[in-house]
Amino acid sequence: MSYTSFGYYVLVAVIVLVYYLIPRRARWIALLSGSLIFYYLVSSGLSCVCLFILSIAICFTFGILLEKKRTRLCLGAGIVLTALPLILTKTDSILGSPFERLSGFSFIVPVGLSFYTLQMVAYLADIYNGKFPAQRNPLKFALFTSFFPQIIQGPIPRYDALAKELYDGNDFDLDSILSGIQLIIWGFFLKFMIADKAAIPVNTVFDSYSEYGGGVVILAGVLYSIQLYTDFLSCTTLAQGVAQMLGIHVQDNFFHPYFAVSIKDFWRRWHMSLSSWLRDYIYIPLGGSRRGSFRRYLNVFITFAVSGLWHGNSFKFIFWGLLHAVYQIAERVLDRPKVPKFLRTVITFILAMLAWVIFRADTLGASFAMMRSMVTGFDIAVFTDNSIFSLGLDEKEFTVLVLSIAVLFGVSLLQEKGIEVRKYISERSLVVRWGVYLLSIWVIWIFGTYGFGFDASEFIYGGF
Amino acid sequence: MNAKLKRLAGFAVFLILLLTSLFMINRILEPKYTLSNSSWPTTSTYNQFYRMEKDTVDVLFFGSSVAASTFVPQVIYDEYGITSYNLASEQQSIFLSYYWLMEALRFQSPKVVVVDLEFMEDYHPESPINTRETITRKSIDPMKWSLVKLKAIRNICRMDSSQSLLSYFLTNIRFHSRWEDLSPDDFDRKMSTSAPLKGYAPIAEKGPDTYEPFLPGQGGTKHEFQNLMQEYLDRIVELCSDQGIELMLVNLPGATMDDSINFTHETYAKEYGVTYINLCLPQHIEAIGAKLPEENIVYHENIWGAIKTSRYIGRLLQDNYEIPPRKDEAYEDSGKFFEEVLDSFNLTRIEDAGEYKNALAKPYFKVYESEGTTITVLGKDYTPSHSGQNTVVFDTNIERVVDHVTIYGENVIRYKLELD
Repeated sequence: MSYTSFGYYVLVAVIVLVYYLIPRRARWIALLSGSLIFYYLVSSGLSCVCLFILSIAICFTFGILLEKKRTRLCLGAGIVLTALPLILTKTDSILGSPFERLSGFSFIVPVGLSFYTLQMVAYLADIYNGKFPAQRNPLKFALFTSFFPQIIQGPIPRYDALAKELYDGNDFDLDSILSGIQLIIWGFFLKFMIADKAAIPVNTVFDSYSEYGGGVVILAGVLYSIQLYTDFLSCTTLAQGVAQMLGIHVQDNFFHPYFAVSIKDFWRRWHMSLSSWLRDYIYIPLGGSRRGSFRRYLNVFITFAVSGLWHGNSFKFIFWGLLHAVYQIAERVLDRPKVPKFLRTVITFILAMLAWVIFRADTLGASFAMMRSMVTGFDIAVFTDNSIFSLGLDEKEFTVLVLSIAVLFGVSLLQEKGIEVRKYISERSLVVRWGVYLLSIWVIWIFGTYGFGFDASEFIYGGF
Repeated sequence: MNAKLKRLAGFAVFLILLLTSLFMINRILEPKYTLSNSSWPTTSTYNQFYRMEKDTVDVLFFGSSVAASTFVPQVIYDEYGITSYNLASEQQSIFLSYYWLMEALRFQSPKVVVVDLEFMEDYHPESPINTRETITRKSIDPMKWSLVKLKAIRNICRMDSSQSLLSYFLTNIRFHSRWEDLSPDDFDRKMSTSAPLKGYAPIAEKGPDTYEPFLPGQGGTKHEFQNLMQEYLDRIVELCSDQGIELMLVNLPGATMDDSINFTHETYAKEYGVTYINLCLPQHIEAIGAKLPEENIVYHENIWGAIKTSRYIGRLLQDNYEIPPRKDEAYEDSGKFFEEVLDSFNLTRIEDAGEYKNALAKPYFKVYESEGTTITVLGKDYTPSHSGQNTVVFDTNIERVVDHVTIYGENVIRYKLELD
């Protein structure tokens, strides 16, 4: 089961129905039951579910302990024990799996481990900082950590922002249902019309980059940047859509990151729930920018190294994180060179795209070879001789992809200017509204990349 | 409250609109195999079957493409007054034959069922049901929704994990990428619901120059057929027995045949009290009386060979089962259509320019001519490689190009067509 599977939406329909049929004060139980069923269905075994429940129990207990005894030792112990599965998995993997080789056993990796661990760590740290009291009901706490629309891929929620809406129970509101459906349609558009379609040429080129010239490699880099963004954005949008149907607001995770004018700005717009988590629980506790330039740069390096490590289990990802730290420090040292905004946006995109090449390539060496090819093997002819149509998408499919990206660009541009496209459509006449909805669904239904014959990509961030 | 109800009603109307439109889109996207676009018009064959009047078909044929190109219900009706329908289809394994027999029995009460045994052998070891996924879909998708179809797809997906159960309900999962290949056929329901040939799939290719009939030796050993095929043949036997239907098992000329296969089928038929006719045997080949290579009766029979085999099969049906002749409008009406199809196919054998031009003088032929240049018919280019009068013949009955020739002096130079 995935967030785009038919089975998932059957489950969502059942949860929504039950949620609004039972008394308001018991609605959180419907959410908890649905979340646990979903977690069981997506897990590879009961052991994963048990480990997840154990983590919830540990975090819940330390939450109460921290409230009673607010000490660094208690906080440290709570964080270490809660994050132990993630720490062990990452350490073992980055060291070449010595545990697995020696013992013959492999670590159990529960679904959403990277996401819920950060969520729980934030919960403990916030109780320690006195932001809110600990949750006394273990089942309600279990709901906060396992809320099904965002358990696999976030956004990483904060307790104080989400808990009330989860526990209080929301009244049925057709507008919320419709708004949720709008978001789900948009999420499917991003996933099937852009992310999974772009994945086809991206996989073709990245899997055998040496066979292609620099022009094609650049195209693959650009398409991967778009694929990763739309894939992750679609997951957030689907989570928001499903939650919205239940009257629950899931935070935004992106704000048009490729319109950023600097790498610093990029990280304000990209995976915002992770960025703010890193800021609040790594960068600021390390001292942030308050202890001089050297410590500031060091803190940036440490924060991005953690970010890299969180994203993947190899040095390649740490390198990717550190590269972003270098970008940020270089930007600060160069102190906003006077270049037009458009050019800064383009430069930022290119820098982010080069980093994504490292992120996607099989090895660090492969990514360097691809970057070399972009410079030394560039050939403009590939864009005019139809050779790009041999990368897995024929001319018609490529046209659909380009048009879909154009739609995304247009919508993003409007949103950047403060126009809420969904609200704008909602305020049109019935014929226009229904026309837009029907057309969107038909387009995805017919032109989307899914189903038999396509090895539809799982959500990329689901692997973290 | 009223406003809320109004909004809910509006939402319900929208849902109905959406679901109806998606259903229609799926109908358009599903591939349709008709006489106009395929040598094996599976879709129209099955859709036409559903249009037959209830309990009017006395004989049903099942089997693979070999059977589809052999049994001509029109010939059997014209010669013996026996109403029959050919439900054979491309790569139809015994497994699929069973489910189509079950389905057919919901609408017809045949006196005799004829099953070609060619697919008792494992021709597609890569597929657990001995039929490739694409071809399975050709056979199952046109089936009406009922418990029979549900059982069939449940068993297909249980045995073949590569198949998606959901995609049989939501066919866009399987076929939405066909948007690039849509043709007018996909929007024209008439072509995919009408099959006046009643399941017969005509082809024109010549056969081999000679055919050595099978000469059985003394005795034989038991042959092990594919397990699943054997299981479903047993089910067919049981089903026919339960329904009081005579079952005729056949092997057609050109089938994989040796002593052990022949022996095993003969023994099986005796054991279960059904008829087995091995048309590979010399007495049958002689009785059919086809002249090779023009009248091909080997493996995929051509229309001229099929006519002869069908006459023979009709005689066997009449002699063995005493099926009384009947007059049926559906067969009376399609007689002319069959003759005209035969005209189309006869055209492809004419090599004399004068005779060819005379043969073209039929109202159902649309002739495109030009002097040695490319002719475009329905968006497709036909280019001659010889100098002379470039001629493309389009049959308006079956809505497809049936011949592409260059008339050069007294000669007709013929080009290969895609559907050949």
